Amino acid sequence: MPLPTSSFSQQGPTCFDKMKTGFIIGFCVGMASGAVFGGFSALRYGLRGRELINNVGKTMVQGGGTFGTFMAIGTGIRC
Amino acid sequence: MSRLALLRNLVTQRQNLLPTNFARLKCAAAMHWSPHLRQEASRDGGGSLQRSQDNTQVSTDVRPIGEKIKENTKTASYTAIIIAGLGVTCVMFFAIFRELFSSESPNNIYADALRRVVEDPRVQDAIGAPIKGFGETSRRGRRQHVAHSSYERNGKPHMRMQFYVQGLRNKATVQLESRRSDSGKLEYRYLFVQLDHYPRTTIILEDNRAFDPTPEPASAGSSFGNLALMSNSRDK
Repeated sequence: MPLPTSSFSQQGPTCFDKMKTGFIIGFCVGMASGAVFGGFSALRYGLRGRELINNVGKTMVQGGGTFGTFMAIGTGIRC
Repeated sequence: MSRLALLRNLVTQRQNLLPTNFARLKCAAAMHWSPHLRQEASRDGGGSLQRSQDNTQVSTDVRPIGEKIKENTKTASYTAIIIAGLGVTCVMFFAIFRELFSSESPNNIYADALRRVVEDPRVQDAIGAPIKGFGETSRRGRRQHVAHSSYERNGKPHMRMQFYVQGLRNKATVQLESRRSDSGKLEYRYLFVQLDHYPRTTIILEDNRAFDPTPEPASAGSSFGNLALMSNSRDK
């Protein structure tokens, strides 16, 4: 019978693991916000088609990188 | 595709496009009386306009092949990034809403069990009326994380959880196992409150282990023994 007795006294993940998770979470959030803000600003700028896609993609990667970096730093401070 | 159609249209209508354009150009030149424009129009006629239009139509298509490949790769990669980002966003929202609206999540089980424990008069008598609940103490002194683990028993998902309650006089440990019943509602396999100090009595709020779906002979005894062992080993 599988009884999870060991799970109450488990060792948490290491600091580097937490920082990686924080970076991934921040990257996701930054990507989402970059898609929204970058998409609308590019549309307002008047870009369509291929240029729009390039611009939005660039903004998403930029926002993801920024958010992920700061989220990783915050997670590293906290743990 | 549309550009190709435009080009074909242009080629077929060149004959009747030419005189009208020429006339329009001359008219414009006469209106603005721009010497440069008039000179241009008089020197080589509408051909310059026609050629320049042709050039703008064609020039996007006659780039070197390497540049085209580069551009297409860039666009494709950014498209992939956008699609991946949208997928990640959808997954995030799905996870958030599942956590918020399902009664299966550990947080909801904890909230429900804590509400039942706090409202139980026996527990209120034992540890004092204003009762608050908390999870494991983490390194930074915060006690938000509730110890839980999910497992399968007889092919059905169960969740075991342990948290602490503190009243006015005493502290206690709450042990529970929950599962989803056949009707789809959440039900407790057991829900115990064990006092941490002197009487060390166990208040049984709910014990459905006799009604396990396919009861095994050693199931109840062994889990009880395990529980007792666990509470002994975790003395504070």
